Amino acid sequence: MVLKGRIVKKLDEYKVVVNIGYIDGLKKDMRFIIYEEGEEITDPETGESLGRLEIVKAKIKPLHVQERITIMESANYKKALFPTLFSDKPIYTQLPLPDSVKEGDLVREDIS
Amino acid sequence: MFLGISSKENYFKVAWMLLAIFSAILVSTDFKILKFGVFGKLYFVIMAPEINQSKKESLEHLIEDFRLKYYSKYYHEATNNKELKVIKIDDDSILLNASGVSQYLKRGMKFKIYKIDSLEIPESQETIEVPSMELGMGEVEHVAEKYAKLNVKWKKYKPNTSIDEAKLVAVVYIDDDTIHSDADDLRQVYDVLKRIYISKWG
Repeated sequence: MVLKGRIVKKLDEYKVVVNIGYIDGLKKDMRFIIYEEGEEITDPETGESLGRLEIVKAKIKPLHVQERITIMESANYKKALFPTLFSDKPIYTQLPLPDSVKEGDLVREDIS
Repeated sequence: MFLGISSKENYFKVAWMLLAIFSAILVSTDFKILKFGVFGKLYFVIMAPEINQSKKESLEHLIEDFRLKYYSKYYHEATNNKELKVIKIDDDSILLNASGVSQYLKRGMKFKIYKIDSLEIPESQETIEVPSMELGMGEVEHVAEKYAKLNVKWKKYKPNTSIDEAKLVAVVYIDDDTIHSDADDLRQVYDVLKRIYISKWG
């Protein structure tokens, strides 16, 4: 079962609070997407509904998991053009969440 | 004087001492000296963690390669190589009907896109649909519960949206080495590589 929730608070440009927690089965190593729904997708041959088109706004990952809520942070990164001279670790820079991310946005586990 | 440099001799002592310190860092951390030179009375060393970095990137590529090999092979086995129907074409992206198989689809997996042709079987007067011309290669970008979005590099023939929708299928692409490999073996290699990466770079 894919975990689904909503953003209940945008803390800053990198972090949001989501209304799912460990009571729902959320684990620290899971990955999530923030998305909005678009048109309905149907199979033109059979007419079967395949759900609404998901327009992905951002990828996020759990930072602090509580019973019913979780603080998640941006999991969008860009590779640094010039790696830091004295450390090989921070070659990926965390990107802020897009401005379009807001309270009430849909969140679900990234199954891919 | 500053750092005890009161003569030319002492100046070189300090310079070589600094070079020794830099060399020690170089050996212990895989740093690479990009440039060592003199600018007036100032010695300078430009170093970069390039060797370590290239090792890290190579391992990242290897892990990603094995992740895709494993999931492609696993999809092939778990779904009995199910062809997925193209349900929407939007320029260089397509949607596939992934109902029932979305759990096996992972970002980056590659699919060959084929046009479907109807063949008549003379004896039985039945028609069967078979994939014929390969039109391009798609890469999974997004997986939803019942559909998947792929970015496609088309070959010469770019499908006509209104005519070709529902006449195309996607077949998972597995390279020659992987097709004869066991999915469990690929998974083990993937897990080992991931453990090495985490132990070294966290």
